[in-house]
Parts: sequence; structure tokens; C-alpha cells
Amino acid sequence: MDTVDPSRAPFGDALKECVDSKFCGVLWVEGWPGGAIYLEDGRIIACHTPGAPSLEVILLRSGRISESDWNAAFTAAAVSDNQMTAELTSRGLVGAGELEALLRTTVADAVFALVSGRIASWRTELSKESYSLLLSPGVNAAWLLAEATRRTKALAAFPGPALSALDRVALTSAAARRGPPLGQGRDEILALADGRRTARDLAFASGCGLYTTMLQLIRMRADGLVVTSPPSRASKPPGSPEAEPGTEDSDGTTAGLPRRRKDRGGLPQPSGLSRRNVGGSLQMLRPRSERGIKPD
Amino acid sequence: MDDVLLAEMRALQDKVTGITGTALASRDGLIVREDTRGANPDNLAALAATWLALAQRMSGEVGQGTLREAMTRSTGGIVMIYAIGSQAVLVVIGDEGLDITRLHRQSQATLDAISAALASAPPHAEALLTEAEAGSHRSQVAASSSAVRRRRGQGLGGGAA
Repeated sequence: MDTVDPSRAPFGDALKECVDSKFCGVLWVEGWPGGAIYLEDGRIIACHTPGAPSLEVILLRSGRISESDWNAAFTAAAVSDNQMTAELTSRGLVGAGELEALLRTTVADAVFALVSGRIASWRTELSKESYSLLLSPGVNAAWLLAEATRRTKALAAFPGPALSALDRVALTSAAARRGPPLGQGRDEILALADGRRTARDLAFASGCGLYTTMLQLIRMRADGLVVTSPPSRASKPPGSPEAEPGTEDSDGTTAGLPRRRKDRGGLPQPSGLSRRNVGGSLQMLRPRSERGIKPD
Repeated sequence: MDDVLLAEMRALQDKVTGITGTALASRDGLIVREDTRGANPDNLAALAATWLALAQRMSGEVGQGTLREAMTRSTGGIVMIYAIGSQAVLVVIGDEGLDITRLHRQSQATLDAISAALASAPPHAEALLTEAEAGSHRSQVAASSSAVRRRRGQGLGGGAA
């Protein structure tokens, strides 16, 4: 495996080298979100990243394929060493043309997520590993990079600060007062935005592609329905982590563990659990007043 | 108020793609801190404590040493739990795109920081059942239950169990 110093070769050049050499294997990318680009004869056949929903997420979240059908196809593909794409089409779960279109969309979305994020380093790995859900034939890498650049520019054309997939999204009061449904998936996104979920999180939660979600968000931001903000600095640990002795929070706990009231009976024990003790523990699952500190 | 526990939990969420919520519970199933959406924190705490105990027993049963983490992987995402010493359990909830590799790399620092924060808090007589206290209490409960069963067997009725 070779690790390339990013200061010596931009990622685009590294990818071009894979293309020119008709590389077969994996290009591992470290960074945020990071991920992996799979190539065959220099063409991209798959791209996996935590930064964008995979085809499985898209199909299952939308209800296009049921969980049981997906699991059955996955198991059959694994057992027979067949391609997942072949199993999905042979079982009539997705048409061949539709599946290819969806695969191309998700691969393009994954590459967009990967290259529009932060790339710290990368390395290539020769691999004959058989992956599932491959594009065959693969896609021209230069086209995918150009498409990612086009999408970044399209988002940058909107007013306001550049939108990052890491930005948190919150509703404005105008969104709360909105009238009829907005359509185009906007209502689903607004229903999920809670001030903590990032643009990337909303893509996963709504089962839509990252770019599609970011495009809707930036339009809704321009319309005054949402506000976006970078991750909170307050989430970083403080400089002096030790709690003051005797410090007590407003909910009656110390900076340590909650105070158990003596009138509680039936204390479940964490060790030495028998089936009976597990039942006793589950009796604790009755509603009680909130103890945790609510997120802001 | 500066809350070092919640700050550590949120810092982990910021560092690892795909974490959608975290919770910290005591080993006897009480919620300490929670930063989740929609999940009932009391249920989470009780389940996490029970699950950790079972997972540790499983590790011991097959002779695999100290449990590092226990995980569920479902259609809609992943839940991981980690022991924090003998005092607490950290719950990490992630969606389908959770970056498990990065979580492995980042979690230990979070566990160490939370452990240090908990250790720096003064012990409360009622707050924490140590293993020794737990063992003593189990014996007392067992003895009490036996006494109740004996009284019932003798037709004397009994109070609440």
C-alpha cells in the first residue's frame, strides 16, 4: 500500500493516475467524510462513504424495497457469490435500467460527498475483493470529478455563506408558520431538522441523496425557512475537565452519578443476572421524570 | 453551567460521522446524561445497563477477556455500548452511515475523559453501588425473598414482594 503525501500530489492527480494506469483496486481516502473509491480498469465501479446515503439506504428508507426482500437478496448473493445487482433484478425487485440509474446517482453522490469534504490523505490498495452493488461498466472518473465540481459551484451560487454537509440545520419561525405543503421533499426535511442534525444527517434520515438534500436546504435557507450553522464550539471539552467537589446540578445529580433514593425497591443488579433479574430490570422501564440535561 | 460529561459526548458526536445520539447511564440503569432524539432516556439507561452486563458475561463465558464494546446492527442503524470502568455505560447511536472505523479510534479518548470526570466527583453514599455493596445487597434481597416465600408457604400471607 502506498500512502501519498497530499502536499506532493493533489487528490485529483492521484485519481487521474489510477485512471491512466487502469488501476484495479481501492483508493482509500482519509479525512471527513473520507471513504473508499473502487476502480476496475481505471473506471469507478463503486464509492462508499459515511458522508452520503448508500443505495441500500435510499431503497429501504423510501420503501422501494422491503427489508425482507433486501435481506433475502443479500443472503442469496452472499451464498452464491453472486452480484447483489443481479439478485435484485432477477427477483424482480428493481428493474435493470432503474437499478443502474440509481447506482450511478448514488456513486455520483458519494464522490461528491468525498471530494467536497476534507481530504487528509489517501492510499491505493490492490484488491480482487468482490464487492456488492457494482456499476458495470464503471464510470469515467474525470466525469464524476467534474460533476462534483459542478455541484459545488451550483451550491455556491446561492446567497449566504457556503453550505457544508457538516452544518447544523434549524427551523426559523417562518417555517413553523408555513401553510400548505411545500412539496419536493422539503416538508420531510423540515420535519427532521432539529438544530442538531447536520445536512448530511438529514440526507440519511430522509433517505435522499446528499446533494439533493443540500440543494433543498440552501433553497429553503434563501427562502428564510431554515438557518444553518457550523458545529458548535461549545461541544468541545472544556480546558479544566475536573468537576468542583460538591458541585450539584439543578437536577440533583453531581457531576458524577445520580443519587438513588432509598424508597426505591427492587434494585436490579448489573452482574449475576438471571432471567428473573432481567425481568426485574425491565420493570424500571416505566416513565419517570427526565434526569438528563436537555440539549440546547 | 459547564457540563464536562455532555461536552465529551457532544465532542464525540462532532468527531465521528453518523452519530445521531449518545447517552450515559449508571451501571444500575439510571440515566446520567442524554443527548438523543425521541428515545426514552430511562428505557435507554435500563436497557444499556442490562445489555452491558449480559455482554460482559458472554465475553467471560467464552473466555475472551475484557469486553471492548457491544453492538447491534439493524436496518436503520447501529447502537454501541461501552463500559466506563465499573461505574457507567456509554451508549452511542448511529445511522446507517456511521463511521465505525473512526468511532473505534475516537471512542477511547472519550471513555477515558468521562471516566476521569466521574472519578473526580466525590462518592455519594447513596449514589453508587460498588461491586461489594451490590453483592451484599443481593444477599440481603435473596434472604428477604426466601423469608417471604417461607411465610407464604406456611399460609401466613405476605406483604409486597
